[in-house]
Amino acid sequence: MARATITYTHNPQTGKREWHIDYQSAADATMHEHESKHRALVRELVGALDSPDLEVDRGQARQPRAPAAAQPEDPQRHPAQRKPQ
Amino acid sequence: MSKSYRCRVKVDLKERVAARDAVEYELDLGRILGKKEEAALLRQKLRAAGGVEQDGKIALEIGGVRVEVDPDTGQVRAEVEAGRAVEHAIDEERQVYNVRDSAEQAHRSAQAAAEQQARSALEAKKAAVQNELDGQVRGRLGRAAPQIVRRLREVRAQVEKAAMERKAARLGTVVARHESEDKATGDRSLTLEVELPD
Repeated sequence: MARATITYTHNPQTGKREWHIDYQSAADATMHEHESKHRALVRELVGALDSPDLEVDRGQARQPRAPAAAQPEDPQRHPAQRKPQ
Repeated sequence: MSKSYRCRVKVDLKERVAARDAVEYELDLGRILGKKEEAALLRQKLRAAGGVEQDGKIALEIGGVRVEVDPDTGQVRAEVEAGRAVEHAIDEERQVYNVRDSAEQAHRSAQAAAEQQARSALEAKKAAVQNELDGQVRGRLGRAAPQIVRRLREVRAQVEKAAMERKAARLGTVVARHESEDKATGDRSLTLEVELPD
């Protein structure tokens, strides 16, 4: 079963907000399926992706913040971040 | 032949001086849910933060300043007002010299002069008070601004967290929820683990 780890980080002092969306596809998913489903998930979660005040990164998987998060070396995990402002 | 008279003049002028300063900005919500649903969440969180609904907007008092938030647009307006009554009174007897006319005319001209004098004095007082009040409202707003921004950022974060949880529950099954705070940076995080249907 596919799994998503969604992290919302905010800082009341600086006003920084960040959404971090990790996606782990089902074991039998192809790279293409993984890509497209991750993209769809990000779009679903942070709908206004075309907004000029958004910065979307697709980078290396990072250290998990939650105990239940997957290991960063997992090749099927590609985080997408949204950082308004 | 000219005469002189002693005339009683009485003037009492009173006016109110007001000063106002305001700032406006947009709360810029994350737009995770639809506009209407997010507005309802914002309204709910603002009420929970002590806000009172008035004409569709939520009013809060933060740092002694009235702050109004329009949940439908996310528009924030913080406004400070101050006012003070200013008065100038003259009540005295005046000697009027070289009057060729009647006592009544002498009194009228003495009264008119007193009124003019009182008006000038009042305008000078008003200008000084206006200056003082302008400084006061600017200072109050400036001092409260960081507190207002910080408090509304907290409210915005609550809305965005609630929106994220709601959205995650619609996407699949939330199997884990974790909140944390990084003491060094002040970053606060909410992490949700969601199992997604195939």
